[in-house]
Amino acid sequence: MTLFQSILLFLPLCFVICFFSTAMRKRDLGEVTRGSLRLFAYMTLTIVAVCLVLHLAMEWLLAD
Amino acid sequence: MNVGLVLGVVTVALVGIFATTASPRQRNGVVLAWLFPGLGHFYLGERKRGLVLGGMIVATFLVGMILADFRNISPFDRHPTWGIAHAFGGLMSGLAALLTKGLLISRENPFYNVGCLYSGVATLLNILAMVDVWDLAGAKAKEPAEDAPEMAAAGTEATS
Repeated sequence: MTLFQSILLFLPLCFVICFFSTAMRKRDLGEVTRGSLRLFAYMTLTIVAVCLVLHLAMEWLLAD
Repeated sequence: MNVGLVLGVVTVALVGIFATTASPRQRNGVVLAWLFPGLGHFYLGERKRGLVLGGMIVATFLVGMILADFRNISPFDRHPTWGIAHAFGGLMSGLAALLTKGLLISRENPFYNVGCLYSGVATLLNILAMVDVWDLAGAKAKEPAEDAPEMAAAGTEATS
């Protein structure tokens, strides 16, 4: 499985989880969609940032 | 200690608490939500919400099955651990397990584990849908009827 395929498969599942976690707190579906999109963006950015930091740290550790 | 025994005792205790503390509306709603995703919301009159949440669960479950070549719902043979998660899918999981029972893994599929994850997460999300039904049923029971203030006002006028 390539990195592109992994990302492609991760994003929809991440969105569904974000949607459900937002739906538990809000009644209006429009509000749920907006909230879940915001959460999805934050969550994806956080995961990408953490992965990038881990990747760079491992690269630095393994360089010696 | 036997894990199955612990899980059994916990399940029986939870079902006991559920059966004794829930209102009939909550009980029926949660059981229907467990039977098929979204059905509990329909029962409470939240059709749009039921359609969206139930549709998302069913779609995620089906995508998982497609990714795993329809061989990932096998609670008694291949995936007893995922089977615990699939138990929350109700009829959807039962039907899927029944229909794909005879299928064997005949090729290397790189997406198999992703498919297991998708279907497992979908059925676990049904727990959240069931909790949502419980909350909605509880909130609806607490809401006063729309004409209650008018009736109360009419009552005070009549007495004075």
